[in-house]
Amino acid sequence: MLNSENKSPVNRYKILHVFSRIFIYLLIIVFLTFALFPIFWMISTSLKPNADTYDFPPTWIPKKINFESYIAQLAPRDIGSSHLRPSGGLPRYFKNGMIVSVSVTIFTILLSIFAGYGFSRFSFPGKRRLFIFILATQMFPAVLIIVQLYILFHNLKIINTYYGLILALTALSLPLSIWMLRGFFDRIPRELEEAAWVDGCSVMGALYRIIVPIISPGIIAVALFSFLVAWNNLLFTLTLSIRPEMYTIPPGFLSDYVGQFTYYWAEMSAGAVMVSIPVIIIFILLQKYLVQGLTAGAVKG
Amino acid sequence: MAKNRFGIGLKKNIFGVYLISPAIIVILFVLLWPLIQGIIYSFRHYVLTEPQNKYWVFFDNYIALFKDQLLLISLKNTFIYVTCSILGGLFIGLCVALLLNQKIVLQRVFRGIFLTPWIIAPVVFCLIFMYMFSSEVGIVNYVLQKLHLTRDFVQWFSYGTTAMLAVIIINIWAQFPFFFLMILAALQSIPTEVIEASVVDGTNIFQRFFHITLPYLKNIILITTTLMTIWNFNSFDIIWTLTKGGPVNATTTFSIFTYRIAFKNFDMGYASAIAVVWLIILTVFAYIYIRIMERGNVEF
Repeated sequence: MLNSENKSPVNRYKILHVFSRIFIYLLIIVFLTFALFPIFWMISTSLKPNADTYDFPPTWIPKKINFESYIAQLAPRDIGSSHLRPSGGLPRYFKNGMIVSVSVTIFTILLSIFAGYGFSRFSFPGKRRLFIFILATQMFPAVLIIVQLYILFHNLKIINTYYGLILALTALSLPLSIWMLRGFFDRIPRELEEAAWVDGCSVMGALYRIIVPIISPGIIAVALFSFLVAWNNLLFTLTLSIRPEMYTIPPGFLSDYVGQFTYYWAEMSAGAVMVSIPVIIIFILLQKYLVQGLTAGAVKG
Repeated sequence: MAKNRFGIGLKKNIFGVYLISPAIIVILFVLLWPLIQGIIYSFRHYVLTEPQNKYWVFFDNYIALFKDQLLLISLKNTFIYVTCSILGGLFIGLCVALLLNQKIVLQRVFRGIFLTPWIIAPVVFCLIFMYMFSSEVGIVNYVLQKLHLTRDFVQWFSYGTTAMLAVIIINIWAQFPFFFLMILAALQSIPTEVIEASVVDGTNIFQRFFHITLPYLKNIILITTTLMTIWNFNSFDIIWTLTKGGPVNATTTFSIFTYRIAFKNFDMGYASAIAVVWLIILTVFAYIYIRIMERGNVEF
């Protein structure tokens, strides 16, 4: 009796603890459902025959796994052919998206390494104002920019070219990339490259051989960020490429699947899976760097 | 601040300007030049389909805009869209961050999973949501009926209120990961001794949240909210894919309004005037944002 009285507060604490654990995991499951259901539904729909996507009540899990929508997405379609089913443009959108996004990533990395290093290590008149200006470009109304950019690119005859898209999207991803990389540079002690300079290394040599390897997590963060900006952008790609041959994935999907008379939900979902899975895999592998890049500057102890 | 505090000659400092210039040139050319042109064009008559017919109209575009009832409608819609999206995103992001900050298994895996909505292209997830919210075969209507919350099919994109609601829910889904990411990072920077000390002092979980956690989060919430306000003001993809501003302008925000005038009516002068009004509104948020981003913390 005495013994149990002694133990009871501990037991009560334990029970409370177990209950709070269960409660936490239940809540996590609720939020996980919210976050993941659309992704689950996309995968589930993509594996159904198109007719089954009109079932009501809907079937949660396909009765039979069926890859016909994926095959339809990969079958090439002639540009401008009168097609009943919208699928088949995906390989082209994918190719355009890759060319544009990879180029944007490379240019953004190069330019933001230079600029981030310049802002971190050198002092010159107007530096602070210039940095503020770069941050300020983030809140220029995107639609105002795109209206004028369209006119400008039209006059330069670079509408419907990769050059125009790459130039515009690089500029779009530069400000935050420079900001992230400057944060990484700021955390490296200056003595490192100063020692290299004393040893007769040029500024560029020291940057390339000593600094760049150290900030490689920051470079991965910038690479992931700029790739996503280019890969996912709709407004700029839609406006600056008018001909469907130049569409990247977002404008391509928009023109193929929105406002049609019949919806091919299964094929649309298969396309959605195919363009999202590579990005999700890359992101899961590299997310820790992007998280570090985005939060390091904003969160300080 | 001495120029040569690191023993570097002036030559090296000029080299810094060279390093920065390529990025600056790209930004000037693609972002600043169009902005200045936009402000100039807002005082001109310029319709893309009649390129010879350009002339100065001074404030005519603005006068027309202030008489346009769409200005108030889009102002109201933008306000509702931005406010609800941010409150919803902040609330869910905060909840998920607090949950994942507990000692739980697979914390890193959960963090990765919760970030996925943020990286899928808006057009792509909007198409999936369009299927989910479709009136006759959509899973949302099915679940709502099963739960006896609605009797009939909700025609989500046919009525103003439900269309706005759907667009906001989808936007919250897309952006809560960013709130979650920033808040979780801030939570993990709270020294554990502070929490442990207050546990010893016998505080309950709510006291700890309001007196310890929330003050630590104040900065990051302000930074993230300001940044998200700016991004949401610019938000175009979700609404354009789902409703194009309809039904009857019920989801027409500033970006949709401007885009339609520019690329459906081709009235670049008028479109620029709308965007300039919007730029002026955004300047307030821009000021806060710059103060924060430049210093890395908030001091007013």
